[in-house]
Amino acid sequence: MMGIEESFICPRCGNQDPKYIGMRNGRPYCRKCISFIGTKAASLPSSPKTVELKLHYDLSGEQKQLSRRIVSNYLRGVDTLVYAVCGAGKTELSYGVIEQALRQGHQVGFALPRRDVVIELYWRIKEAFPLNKVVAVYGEHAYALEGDIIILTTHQLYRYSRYFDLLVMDEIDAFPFKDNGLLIALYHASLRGHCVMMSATPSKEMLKEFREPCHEVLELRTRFHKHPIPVPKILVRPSFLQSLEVVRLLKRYRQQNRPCFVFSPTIAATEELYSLIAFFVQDGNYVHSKRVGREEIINAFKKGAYRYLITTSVLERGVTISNLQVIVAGADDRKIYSSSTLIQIAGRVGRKSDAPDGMVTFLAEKPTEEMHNAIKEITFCNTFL
Amino acid sequence: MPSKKSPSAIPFCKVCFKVMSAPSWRTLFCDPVPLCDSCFREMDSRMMRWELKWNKHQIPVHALYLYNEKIRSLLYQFKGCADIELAPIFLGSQAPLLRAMYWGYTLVPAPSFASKNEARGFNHVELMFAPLKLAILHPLVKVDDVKQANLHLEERKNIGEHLRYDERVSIVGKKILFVDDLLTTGSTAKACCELLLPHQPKKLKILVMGYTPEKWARGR
Repeated sequence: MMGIEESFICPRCGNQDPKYIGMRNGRPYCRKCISFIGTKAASLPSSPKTVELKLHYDLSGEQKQLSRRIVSNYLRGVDTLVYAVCGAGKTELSYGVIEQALRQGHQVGFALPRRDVVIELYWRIKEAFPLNKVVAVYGEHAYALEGDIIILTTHQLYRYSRYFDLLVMDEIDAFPFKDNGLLIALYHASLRGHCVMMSATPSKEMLKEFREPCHEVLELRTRFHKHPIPVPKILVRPSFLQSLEVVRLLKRYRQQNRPCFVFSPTIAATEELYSLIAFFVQDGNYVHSKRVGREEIINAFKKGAYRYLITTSVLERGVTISNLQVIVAGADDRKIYSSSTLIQIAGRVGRKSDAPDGMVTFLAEKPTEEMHNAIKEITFCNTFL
Repeated sequence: MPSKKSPSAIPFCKVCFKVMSAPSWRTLFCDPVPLCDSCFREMDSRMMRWELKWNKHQIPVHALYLYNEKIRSLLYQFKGCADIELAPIFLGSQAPLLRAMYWGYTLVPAPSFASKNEARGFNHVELMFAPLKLAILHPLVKVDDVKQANLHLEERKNIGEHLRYDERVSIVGKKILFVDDLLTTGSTAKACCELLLPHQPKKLKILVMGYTPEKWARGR
């Protein structure tokens, strides 16, 4: 006969693996999603909202076409995957469908895996939809849970049970959402309508799922400003010379008055590299997931207070800085730098139409297959111009 | 109580859920604990012993772990999220040694507010030290819901105002082991000892799971 643990299915995350099921006072409970406790969002009565979409720029012809397609998919009840290159203007593609959903009085959510990106997106959406209540929900910031548009980290989805009529999800291939069964289950549980997924580097499984009926993949291979994506350059250097190479490149960018991100594989390597480079090039700083005051440092960098920033992959996505250059030190660390990560990193460069080009440098002791694949993918996308 | 039998036949770690490899030296001589070596190392077991001195009192203290990020998250999961399955991992393989050290003692857990225990479904301190297999008495009662972590240093020193001794329970001539999950400034431990000492226990010792040294130094 089956024990209670074997027959129990978690109503929230769908877990039924007995390994993750505990017994409390004779009753089974799920240990997999146990840390997701907190206030749940109250469901609001749905009523059509007044919407004014305010954009300071026009969408390109391709963007407009895709945006219309996403809206028609949403109205027909088709889930959409937007497969667009970095810097294609994915976020703006979703504005049309958000506007449509709000007009119909639908509940809109915009989920992303990382809190830094949630904060940045919050201000962008707030500016684009000035008449609507936009709330940001993440780790230490969960005071207001209800609004017209809810921007949240994927971890906070547990607060919204069968809640969103439209859920836009960006960076779905990023840690911690990628391959995280629990977060994927929470996403399914929060959705009562349809979703729009967006990624520059979707997994094969994701592409396969969206090629099934009632799903559609929309591709956008060019950037909105119609300039090619800068193709990374590989510089082969022994590890002890890589720091000097970083110094040389930083000095050059400094002369050209161009800000630069230097990516480093680990927190320890980031701190070590900064302590060395700070001797030679001033006006820089470093960030990683554990750095106190990370947001202030990133904001100061955006305002031009620093000329360079040494960082782990926390800044690999969702950051747009004009005229940015990128160096990846130790790019042959295959555990950290998969080809999709390298594509995302390279995608930080040349995103603005006033500075559409730039340099991406991979510093490595030995070129890896991942580096070559990333370069191949970027070159392929550039052929669509 | 946590389930006595694991639902899976293969032993796995209750913290990281990984299948435990061949029995390590710890499990050869001790009670089987559902905790892998890697998680145990992260908990940073120290076995610290010193004496808590204030006014004219001098009470021996024994702490098992330094309060680090791992202990913080495990305690949050156990206490805050009511994950009762974690109960046996805190004393872990140290339980037989501790049983020998405190043989003949009576356990007095730090008082916690009754409604909190009801909501959680268990008293976390009592369950954490259950592997000691000692008799338990509850002479101390918390009269209102005060959370130590939310109090300032000065306010913590007045924690005694929120506690009282239940006169129905006698500890006369008994060897008392006062247990708590954390010792930070030591205010709770001192306040509890001050309530216990007038009732003539034969001996009084303190055993805590986690200890925060920097804050303790400031509090002293």
